[in-house]
Amino acid sequence: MIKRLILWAAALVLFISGVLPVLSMFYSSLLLDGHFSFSNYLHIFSSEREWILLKNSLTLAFLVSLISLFLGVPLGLLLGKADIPFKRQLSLILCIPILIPPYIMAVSVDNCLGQEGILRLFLPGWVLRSLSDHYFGLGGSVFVLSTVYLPIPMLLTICLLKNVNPSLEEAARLCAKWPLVLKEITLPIIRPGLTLSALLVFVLCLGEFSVPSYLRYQVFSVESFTQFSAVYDFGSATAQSMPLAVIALLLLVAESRYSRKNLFLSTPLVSGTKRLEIALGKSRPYLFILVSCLAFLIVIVPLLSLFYSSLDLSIYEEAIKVAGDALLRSFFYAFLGASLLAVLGFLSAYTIKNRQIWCWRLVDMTSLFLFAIPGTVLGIGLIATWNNPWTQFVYSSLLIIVLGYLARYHVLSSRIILSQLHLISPSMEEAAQLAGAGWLSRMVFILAPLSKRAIMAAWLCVFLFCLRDTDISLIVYPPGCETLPVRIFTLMANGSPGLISGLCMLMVVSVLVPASILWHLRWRR
Amino acid sequence: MAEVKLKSITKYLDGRLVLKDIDLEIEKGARLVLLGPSGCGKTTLLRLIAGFIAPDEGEIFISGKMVSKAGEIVVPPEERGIGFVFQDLALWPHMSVYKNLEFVLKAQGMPKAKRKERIKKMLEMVGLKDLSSRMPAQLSGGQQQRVALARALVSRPSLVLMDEPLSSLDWDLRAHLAKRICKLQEEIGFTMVYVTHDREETRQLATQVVVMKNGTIKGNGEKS
Ligand SMILES: Nc1ncnc2c1ncn2[C@@H]1O[C@H](COP(=O)(O)OP(=O)(O)OP(=O)(O)O)[C@@H](O)[C@H]1O
Ligand SMILES: [Mg+2]
Repeated sequence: MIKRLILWAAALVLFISGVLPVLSMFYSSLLLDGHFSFSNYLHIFSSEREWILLKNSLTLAFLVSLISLFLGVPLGLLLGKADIPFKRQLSLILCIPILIPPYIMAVSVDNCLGQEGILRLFLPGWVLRSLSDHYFGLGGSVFVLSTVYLPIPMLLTICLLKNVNPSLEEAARLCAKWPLVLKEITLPIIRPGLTLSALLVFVLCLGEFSVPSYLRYQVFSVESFTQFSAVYDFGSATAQSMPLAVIALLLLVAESRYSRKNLFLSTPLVSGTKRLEIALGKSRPYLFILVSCLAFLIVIVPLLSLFYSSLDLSIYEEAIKVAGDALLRSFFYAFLGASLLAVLGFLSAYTIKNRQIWCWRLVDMTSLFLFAIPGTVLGIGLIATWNNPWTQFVYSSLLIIVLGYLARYHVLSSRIILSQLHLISPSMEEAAQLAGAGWLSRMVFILAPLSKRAIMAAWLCVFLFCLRDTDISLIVYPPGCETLPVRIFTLMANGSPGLISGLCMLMVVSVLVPASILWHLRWRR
Repeated sequence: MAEVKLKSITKYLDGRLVLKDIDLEIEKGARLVLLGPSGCGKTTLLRLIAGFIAPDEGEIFISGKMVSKAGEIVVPPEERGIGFVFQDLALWPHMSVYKNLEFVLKAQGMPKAKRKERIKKMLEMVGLKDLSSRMPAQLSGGQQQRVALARALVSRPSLVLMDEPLSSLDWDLRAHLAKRICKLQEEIGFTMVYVTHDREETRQLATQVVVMKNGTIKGNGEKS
């Protein structure tokens, strides 16, 4: 009884924090001056501008997912399977862009290309000028977002490789060299997972608005954000985000087709068996140099440039003065979100694994859906739900931000813990049950300690994502509740470049410390 | 001359001594059965011979050529001409039976017409010629086992390693397939190393029996 109560409560949190906003937003988009009407939607499909925006959104997302897939998979193979030196360090560096708010990458690349930037020391002026001319628009957005999302296919490749039965590769190695083994055996086996990683990048890109808005590339999500924040037009903002929500829904359908094979985001965190390593032989130093150059070019140079242009202690003093409170708040909210989600994710993972309540599949699907839809959609929905006289205590406090985190990042926590629960034999719980332990004590004393590592990893992962969150918090933050990414984004319009660089550095550093802890957990056996 | 020769092989895995000072010679055309309790290092020994891992001490010779020495794989697995039947069979799940066999020959650069003929003959030998277009998941345990056997033999290797290939099958089928393996070995004439726990299989198959315990060889005897 108590078991069902608790599991239902956990599911309900997800539905209230996520599903309710999306539904109430959909509902309000169908109302025009209190009447039922489709005119918001009709307007979208009749205006030519909307079609151009949609085309831009799709072009951007397509190019980014293509590039990140074609770079991420080879990198995943090299860093996850070959004997390349310093692979842990290289993978960590390449992962930095996804850990910080994406627009910070846009700012830092802009910074390198600028008149004061670090590249000025290496490149002639006309090269720099022509690069920075092409930066604003599609080109820059593709570059920045590919850098930001490259880690998804890369990390997923590394995880999926760990799930391939080692003897399948050994059997092939008896007759063929590595390139043929990879092409004919390994890659085809992990292909469904790779396809899904590309799809995930695609939908995340569609929802991305901070980068295209900084780089002045007109896409759907920027438009619906502007509609909402400038004109406060609920109806058309919602209608505008619906095409993106539909595409996210398609991802869901694709995922559910593969979920039976447990390929997607549910790979074990650790694995025991030794795998064959690819001996790179003579090409080892060249490949190492190639990967290092890539990491240097797309991650280190932009960040160094931020550092370089904020090289002044007074800048940091001022940064702390204008954003110290926001930084502390960011940590606090992320801490709250991560701790709640560690518990909720654990309960949901238990629900999903053991099919405890009838809507277990709905819990799973919903959490993925809420991650895939644009954060702006979720944010606008949260406002539509809670902005009424009775619920001001939610609407005007940090609760609305935390609810957004709970909805958006639920999937990270539940999937990470689920992958661990799959490895725990059911007999562990059954043995405790026979010994007379009740459900609660089995959860607390048997299952939770057995999945301790996964719960910690989930906590940190959610913590990082809450810390970098821009999309939701930028829309829903009540006065006095700005987080650091929000504060930086709003200061960007009129702050001095030096200060902005300092603030961005502050953000980067405060993300990197928890990230390196996560990294340590991830690689330790 | 011995087909396989292990010279004072020692192997550590994760800092644990798994094989200790192993000396072993396997004659050409022999059917050597490797017996021993679980965890004594039988699979590790086969993986050393196949070249998936390098020994920490000692040398391995195949047909008189040194293929591995301390800390180094001199000849990579694909150049050793070895067939291997894995404990879990390791059939490639995304390829049909035919494609599973064809991959081995294609990797060696055999022309298509010749491949086709060779695969047909091999599948006939193991009694699977009607199932060549099935996927591994659509086969029974015994049929899968025969596919694994056919895949290990299709390239006519001179040395075949089998790691408890029949352990997942029921008793009847086991006896039947052990007989078939014996017959194939006599027809083709490869050297065979066969790991098992089963006394009956040992009796049926072995011309030479080696007993291992705790990473060392406890007994080595000829059998007619
Ligand atoms: N990757 C590894 N890392 C550390 N130890 C290992 C590894 N693989 C095997 N071992 C250890 O080496 C020893 C020998 O293992 P091996 O697989 O060779 O045994 P086996 O004789 O084949 O056993 P079984 O009959 O159960 O298959 C075992 O004690 C095992 O725990
Ligand atoms: Mg074994």
